[in-house]
Amino acid sequence: MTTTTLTQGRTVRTIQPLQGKARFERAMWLFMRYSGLALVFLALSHFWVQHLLIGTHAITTAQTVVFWGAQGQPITLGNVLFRLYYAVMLVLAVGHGINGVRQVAYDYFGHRPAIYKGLMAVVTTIAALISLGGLVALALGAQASSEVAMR
Amino acid sequence: MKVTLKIKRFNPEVDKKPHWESYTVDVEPTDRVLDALHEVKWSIDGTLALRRSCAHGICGSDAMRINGRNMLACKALVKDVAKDGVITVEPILGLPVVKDLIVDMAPFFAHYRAIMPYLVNNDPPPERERLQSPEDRARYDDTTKCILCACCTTSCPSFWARGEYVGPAAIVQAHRFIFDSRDQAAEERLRILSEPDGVWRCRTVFNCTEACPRGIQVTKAIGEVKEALRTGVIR
Ligand code: SF4
Ligand code: SF4
Ligand code: FES
Repeated sequence: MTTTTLTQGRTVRTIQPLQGKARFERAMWLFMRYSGLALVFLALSHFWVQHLLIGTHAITTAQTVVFWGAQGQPITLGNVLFRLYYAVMLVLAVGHGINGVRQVAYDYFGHRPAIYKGLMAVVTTIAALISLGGLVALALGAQASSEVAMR
Repeated sequence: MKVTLKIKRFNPEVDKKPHWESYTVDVEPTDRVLDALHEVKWSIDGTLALRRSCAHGICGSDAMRINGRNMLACKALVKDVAKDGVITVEPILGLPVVKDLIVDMAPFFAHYRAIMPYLVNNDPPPERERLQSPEDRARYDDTTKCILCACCTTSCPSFWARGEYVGPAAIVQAHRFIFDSRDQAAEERLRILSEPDGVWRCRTVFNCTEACPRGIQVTKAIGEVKEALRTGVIR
């Protein structure tokens, strides 16, 4: 018997880039992976800051106002970082949650377009409201936010 | 030893919904659940309906839910699954029950056919076989072992929720051809699997890997298909 080894090693092939829906689903899948990973660290560090650094018994509105930079003083770099940190967490958490709900809604109601679209409309509205709230909190001037904090 | 089989029965001609029935049989601890079921069917109640053929873990026809886990009845030993002398047996989930332990496999095979489970090569046939390197052959070795028993697909929560999801078994079969260097339809299969009811419905729960009686790394194979879709490279 003779053995002919035609090739050696592994063949590598490439495919055309994905288009349309497939491309979107892949992007969403990757987003879930990366945002999920990031949120683990963000949530843990959030607990660390609030419960260890600040201390469970010292979490008050006044304390948050200090970190947020809303005591009527010029905003420091620390305040900016604090806001950015929570902005990233908010965006990722809302995005992750919304896409998760979209997946589950598709699982159970994908074959009933009316219910699926209705659900997605509700979810999108909630997302828009949360984002709006987030934007207001982020962009709030020092004066306005200290007034909010006073109330 | 005496063992009680608690079997989920359903006869569409008389029953509105399934019900449980118990049978106590005398078996050896090293007998298989299939032997115990045969004992019920052949000596106690001939109306029990189940599907099996080879009885040796090859044909893949006797997948069932034994104590809540998908297994082949011909590969599960009584001593390994009996809990306080009781074994529960149900049909696999997610497919319509025809009678007792027999389900309608048509939707399962429809997904299988959808991924083009055959070699596509439009080059003129060589004088003898189409050769490939040992490394290329090893690439898809794991997924050649599939016997299409449906243990994986019917253990998958994503499939239970949405029967349109192509399911792990079809992805395993697609993997077997996508990563075969002699095949020329990998791109087409990948396009089918990149649709919303393709690989993205997999949430990496690993139920399929745990259920596979052939020990195929099902979730890993699905991951490799996702990786090919992510990078656009089949390697
Ligand atoms: S790993 Fe994916 S295909 Fe397997 S059971 Fe989980 S969700 Fe289903
Ligand atoms: S991958 Fe395993 S569990 Fe799934 S159909 Fe094939 S042999 Fe059965
Ligand atoms: S009867 Fe063939 S695999 Fe069990």
